[in-house]
Amino acid sequence: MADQLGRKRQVKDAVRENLREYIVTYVFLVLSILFVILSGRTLQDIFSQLMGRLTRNLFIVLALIIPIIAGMGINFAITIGAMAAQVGLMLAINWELQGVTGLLAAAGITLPLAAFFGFLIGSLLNKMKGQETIGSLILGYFANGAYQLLFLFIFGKVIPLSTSVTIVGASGVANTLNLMGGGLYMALDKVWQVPFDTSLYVVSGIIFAAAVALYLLKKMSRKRFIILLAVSIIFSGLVAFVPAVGAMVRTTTVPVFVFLLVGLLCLFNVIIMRTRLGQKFRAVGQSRTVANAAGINVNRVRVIAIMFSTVLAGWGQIIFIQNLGTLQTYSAHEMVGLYAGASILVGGASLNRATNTQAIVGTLLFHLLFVVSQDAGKTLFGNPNVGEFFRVFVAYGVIAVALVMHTWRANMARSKKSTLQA
Amino acid sequence: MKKRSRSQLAASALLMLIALVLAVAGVWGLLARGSQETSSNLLRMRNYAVLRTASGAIVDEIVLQAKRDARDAGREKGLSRNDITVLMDEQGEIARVAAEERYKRFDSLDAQALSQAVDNLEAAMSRYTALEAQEKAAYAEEWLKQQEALEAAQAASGEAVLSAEIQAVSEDAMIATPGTRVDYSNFVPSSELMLLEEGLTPSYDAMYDVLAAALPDLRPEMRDDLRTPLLVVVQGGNSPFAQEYDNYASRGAQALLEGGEARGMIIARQGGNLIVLAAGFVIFALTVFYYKRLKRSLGMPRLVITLFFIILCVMAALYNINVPGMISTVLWRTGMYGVLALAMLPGIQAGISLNMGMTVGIIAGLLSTLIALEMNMVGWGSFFFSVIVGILIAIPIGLIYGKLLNRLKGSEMTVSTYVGFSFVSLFSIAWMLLPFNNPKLTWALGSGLRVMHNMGDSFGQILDRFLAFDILGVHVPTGLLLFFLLCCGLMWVFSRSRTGNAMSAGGANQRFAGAAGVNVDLMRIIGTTISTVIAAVGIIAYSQSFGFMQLYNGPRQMGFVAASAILIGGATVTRAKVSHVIIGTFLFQGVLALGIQVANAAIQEGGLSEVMRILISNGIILYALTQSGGESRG
Repeated sequence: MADQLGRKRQVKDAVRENLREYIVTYVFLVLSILFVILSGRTLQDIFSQLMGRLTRNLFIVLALIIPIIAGMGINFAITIGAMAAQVGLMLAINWELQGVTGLLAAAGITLPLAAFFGFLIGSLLNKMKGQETIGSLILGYFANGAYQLLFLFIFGKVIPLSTSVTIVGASGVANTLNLMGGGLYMALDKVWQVPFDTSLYVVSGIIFAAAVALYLLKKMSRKRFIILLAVSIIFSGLVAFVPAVGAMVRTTTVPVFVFLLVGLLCLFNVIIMRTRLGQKFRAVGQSRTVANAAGINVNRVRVIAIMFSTVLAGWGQIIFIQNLGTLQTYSAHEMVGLYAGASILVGGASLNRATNTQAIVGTLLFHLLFVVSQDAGKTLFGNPNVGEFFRVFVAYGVIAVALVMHTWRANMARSKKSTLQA
Repeated sequence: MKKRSRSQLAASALLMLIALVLAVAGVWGLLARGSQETSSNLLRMRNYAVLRTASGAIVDEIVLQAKRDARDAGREKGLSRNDITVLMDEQGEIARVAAEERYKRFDSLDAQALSQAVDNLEAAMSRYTALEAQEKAAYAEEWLKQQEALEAAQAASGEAVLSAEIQAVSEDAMIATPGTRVDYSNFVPSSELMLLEEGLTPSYDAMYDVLAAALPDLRPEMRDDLRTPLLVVVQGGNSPFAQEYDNYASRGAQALLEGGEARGMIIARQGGNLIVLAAGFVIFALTVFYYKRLKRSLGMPRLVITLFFIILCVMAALYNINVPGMISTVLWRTGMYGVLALAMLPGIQAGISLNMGMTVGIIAGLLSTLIALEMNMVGWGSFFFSVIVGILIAIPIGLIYGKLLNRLKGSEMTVSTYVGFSFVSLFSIAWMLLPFNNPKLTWALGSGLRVMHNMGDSFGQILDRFLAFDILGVHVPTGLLLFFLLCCGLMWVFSRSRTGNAMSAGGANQRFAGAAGVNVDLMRIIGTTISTVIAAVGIIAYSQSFGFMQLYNGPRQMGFVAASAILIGGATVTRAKVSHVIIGTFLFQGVLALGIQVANAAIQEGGLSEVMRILISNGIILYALTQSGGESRG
């Protein structure tokens, strides 16, 4: 009897804990469903738009995970990684490189550039420990100024560029760079396009098989095994047997190559945490003083975390732009940090804990809201602009709420600790 | 005994030496302007410039003819359009080089006659330009008066709101082109002026005849075409030395002088600039000499900014930027942003570091102003109404916000930034939906408030104009500055009061103050509330001074501007005084205003001012963040 009661309480506590940690996620879920209904758009339409957004944004959001684990909060300076990528893309267009080669060249330029910038960012953030979130935000603004300086006054003048990227009569790089001409548009997407239902079945099949294999090899816990099995069966079943769901997804194709890259990044995030370096990230994230006492070079580890994040964000931006087709030279990078940060926070991540799943779920929900908020705003208030402002409000609001909750909890824990000690 | 490193001494000595050389050269140059030799050289340059202008016209004709011939030849040969263009350019270049060679020296010139003719023309011109300037000035005065009357009439009819929207200029544009441009298209010269203009013709003809004698290819048809360019060269006696020199030099007259003569003339021309440069080097030398002491008393960021400010002043003098106009701009902007910067002070003193969430206070101020505008209030009544209602709205908001911040000890700056941003976005939605009905405030089609609101017909510039006066060409917005100083004074008095002292104590060391009986949490709330209230007042002062109230994304970056200003003034995220606010706002706005003007003069590209603003203001905050280093005490 006592045992049963105990188990029930355990479950209740677990549920309450889950609720508290994921409250933002659940609110978002409810809000999204509400807005989907209010918007009055077809599910098919919404789904295909959502797929496009996921293609563009998943990679970047995943790039935020490492710095969070290393205790550096939301790295808003990934904007700078995006800027590095845009330099690479601009040069690729300038040299009129085609297709995947062009994107590879851009990625190749991004790597050393973003790594260097990441080094600078990390070193600067080390000087403002405890204020990294706002520090990276302002650093992003500052870098935006330097970026404009570079693109308006140095490129085109000091460093000559071809007319494919500059406008005759004006100084500096053109405001909009078109990727379609050089075949860079969707170069990665087009590598391999598969209709959604097929790819879902294939992926579910793979997850099923992999889960069974790992479980049999005793490498996976029973709980996770059951969850994975359930998820893959449920989703495949929905698509195959429920006509409404089937109709929704039928017309969408999946750019498999991009999702492969996303999957690789997820894998990378998991694997690197198992290496020595990953353990150092975690140690530094949990407590700088303890890590320092254990002989870890805290500053160096933090810099490396930021370097990883910046480079990955740069590559993510390349994926973003190639899917979009046009590069707004002076504004494409501005909201990157904000949206990615909000996405991962919606997924339930906090300022010192983040997982791949949280990133993916968060991106899904955040962008779902994005897709439908304009039309929902029109239905609710008769004014489509309201939807636009609502999006931005949601993005900032999510971050504010997450920051408040995180600090509140941290302060409570600290005061509890000190009263215990006293 | 403080030792200065040897390299420091050497560097400062070297700089002083350079300064000395420059100063001597400058003085010599200025004195040389009056010498006989310089005057005669200048005359020779003038005559040469006249010849070059005339021959330049001939060269252009030759080149044009060569290009025509090339085009015809190309057409005959049946070349493509591109090839014809290339051929034309080639032939044109060859012809130009040959022609310029031919006209480099003027052998068959009667130099004496030309000089005499040009002298006569110059005398006639100076009478003309003097009278023209007089008449144009009178016209401009009349025109401005008419414009004001026109604007008043428009304001009465409500039309002004529309046109103000269309002209919604950015602040930087307002700095770059100070003052109104007069439209001279309706200017009608008096009969006296026209007589003088006709009197120019005989002198001009005489000169032209001498030129024709010297340049055989000068055809009579070109007489009228060349009239305007030649008259521009022969401006008339009273232009300053530098202007005259530049005028002739731009027509290639420098080629006339050789060696020592040329150098002498250049130094005479640059005399003033050399002295300014010398002053700059002196300051530079002193800075290197007293580096350690300056660094300690001013702190690195203030030192860097002050040096930058001085460099900008030197450059401004070199580029001949209008100094009184600039001082007026700096005074204006200091008053405009001052109270907003002051809003940061109570926050820092109470221990919540930079209150980036002062945006909530700003929105309170915007709301109260909107209410005043909605009710069509004008004048001082509307100003005081806005201020009082703004304070009333800001107090409860500040209290709630203060309570929130008390739970967030250690991360106030980060969280307040995002709370502020969210608030701005939330109110962007609100501006669209709130029930404001005054047609002056809402969009013409549909509902919702406009982005920019013209303060002209309510209390725009009311503080600025109060007791304003002009001195030495500098316009002093007395009311605005008095208001700023009044707020600073009130803040200063408060910080000396018992509550103020308790607040500072709580901010300085929470545990200590708590042990001494201070309710630190309450003090923090008080500090936040005062900050919010000052922000509300600040945006009202700002809007009336700027002339426009900006909704939607307008308030977003205000927190950063205020933070940069107070940090430049020497404050840190934990310690600040009223003097920091005043000095900081002045330096920050001074650097920005100067920087924009110099950048516009130096580099003819737009947009550099915006970039500079971004780099400077964010760079300052970054530096301050690195200095605060580490978590704030819990």
